[in-house]
Amino acid sequence: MMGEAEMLATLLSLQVAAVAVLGSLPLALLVATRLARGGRGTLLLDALVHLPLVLPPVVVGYLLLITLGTQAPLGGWLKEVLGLRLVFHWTGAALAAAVVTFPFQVRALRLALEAIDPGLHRAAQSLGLSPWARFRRVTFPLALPGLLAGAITAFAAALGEFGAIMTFAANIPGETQTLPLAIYSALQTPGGETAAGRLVALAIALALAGLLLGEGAARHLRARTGQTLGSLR
Amino acid sequence: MTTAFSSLRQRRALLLLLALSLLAPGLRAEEAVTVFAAASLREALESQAAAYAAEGHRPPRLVFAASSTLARQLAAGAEAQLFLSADERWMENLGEARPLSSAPLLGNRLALLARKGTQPPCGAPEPCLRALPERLGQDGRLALGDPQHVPAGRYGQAALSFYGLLPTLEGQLLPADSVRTALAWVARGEAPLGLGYASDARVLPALEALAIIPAEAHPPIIYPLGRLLDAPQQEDARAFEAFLRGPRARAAWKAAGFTPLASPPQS
Repeated sequence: MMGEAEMLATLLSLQVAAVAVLGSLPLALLVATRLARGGRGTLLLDALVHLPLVLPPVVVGYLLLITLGTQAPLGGWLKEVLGLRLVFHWTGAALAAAVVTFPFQVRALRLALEAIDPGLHRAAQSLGLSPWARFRRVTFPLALPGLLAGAITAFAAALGEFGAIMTFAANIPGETQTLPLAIYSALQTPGGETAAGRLVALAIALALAGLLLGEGAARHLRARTGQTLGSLR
Repeated sequence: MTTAFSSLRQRRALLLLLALSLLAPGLRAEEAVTVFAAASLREALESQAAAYAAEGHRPPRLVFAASSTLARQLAAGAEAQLFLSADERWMENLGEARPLSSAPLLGNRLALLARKGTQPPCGAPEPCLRALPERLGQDGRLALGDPQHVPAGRYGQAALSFYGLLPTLEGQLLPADSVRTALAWVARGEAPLGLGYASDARVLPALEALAIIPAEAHPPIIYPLGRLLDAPQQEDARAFEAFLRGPRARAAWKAAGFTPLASPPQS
C-alpha cells in the first residue's frame, strides 16, 4: 500500500522529530529550571524562548540559513573545523524542527517545575541532600510528567514542521523531505492527489498517536506521583 | 484585558476597523485584474504592469509563485483573470478544471548559472555541461526547480538526462519549490551552480550565466498566457492581455531576455 518514497518520508520524519526533541531536551530542562526560579532577566528569556512559537517558521528557517549556511561565518566554521554541514542535510531539518518546537518543551517543563511544592525542597535540604541529589530524587521525578508531555507534544509538532525545514534544509527526497514536504510536493504534481491522500492519512495518524501518547503518559505519571498538575496542559 | 478597549468609543472604533478590514479584500477584488504568473516572470511582468498603468489603466494585481502552485490554486477556484504559466502542461491541467482560452506568449532559454566570479568560464556549452560532475566535485549541489513539478526543474532534468548526466548527478540535485528559490541558493553560495532561465541572469545581479543550454537538450520552453473565461471583468482582462501581446510589450519582453512568440489573432 505504501510506496518506497512514502516509507522513506515517514521514517525520515520520525528520525528528524526524535533527534530534534531528544537533542533539545537537556537545554529545555536547563532553561525551564532557570525560568521557574524567576528573578532578573526571566521575562526577556521567556520572550526569547517563545519567539519561535510566534515567528513565522519560514523566518526561523531563513535566520538559520543566514547564520548556519556554509557561507555564514558560524556555518563556515562548523563545516571547516567540525566537518558539520547542517544546511540541506537531515541534521539541519532536525535543528529547524528543534528550534520551532523548543517552546513546547520549555512551557510544559516550566509549569511542572513551578507546581512542585517548595517545602519538599526545603525538607530535602534539611535532610542533608546535595543539590544534585535533590534534583535527582525530588525535582526530576516530580517534573517527569511535564517533561514527557512537553517532549511528546514537541515530537508531534516536529513531525508537522514545514516552513523552517523547507527554507533551511530544502525538500530533497530521501534526505530532507519529511512527511509535510512530501505532501506539499505530491500536491504540486498533476495527479498527485492519491499519493498526497495517503501521506495526509499517515500524518494525521502519527500526530494523533503522538498526542494521545503524550496525554496518556502524563496522566499515568501524574497518578503515580500523586501530584495534581492540572495547570500543565 | 479589562482596561484595553474599555470605553464605548474605543470599542466602537475597533468594531468599525474590523468591519472595514472585512470589506477591504472584496473592494480590491472588484477593481483590479488579477494575474497569476510564474515566479520567473516577476520583474518583467511588474514593469509591464507599471507601463500599462502609466497608460491610464487600473494597475493589475500580480501574484507570483511556481506555476504548479498557481495552477492548483486556480483549479481550486482562486479569483484571477489571467494565468501566465512557465509551461504548457500546467495550462492544460488547469484547462481540465476551468474554461480557459490560452495561447503561447513567450519563449525562454535554460541557462547554467553561478554566482559572479566564483566559477571558471564555460566556453562552448556542450563540453562544459558534460564536465558538470567535475565542476560540482564531491559535495557540490546543483540547484534547480523541483523536477517533480516546477517547469524550470523539468526542463533542467530533461537537459541533464539528454547529456547522460542524470545517473551521476541524481544525488547532487538540490530541488527548490520555485526556480527563484533555487537561484537564491546559488546567489547565497550555498549551491555552487544552478539551472534557471537565461532571463533570470538579467534580473539577479549576483548571478552570471555560464552557458545557455542548447535548445535541443530539452522540450521547448513556452509560457502560455491563459484567460479564465468564468472570471468576472472579462473586458479588463482582455485589454491587459492585448497589451501583453502588443508591440510595446514585445520590445520590453525582449529586453528582459524573453522571446515574444507569434501573437494569435485576438478574439
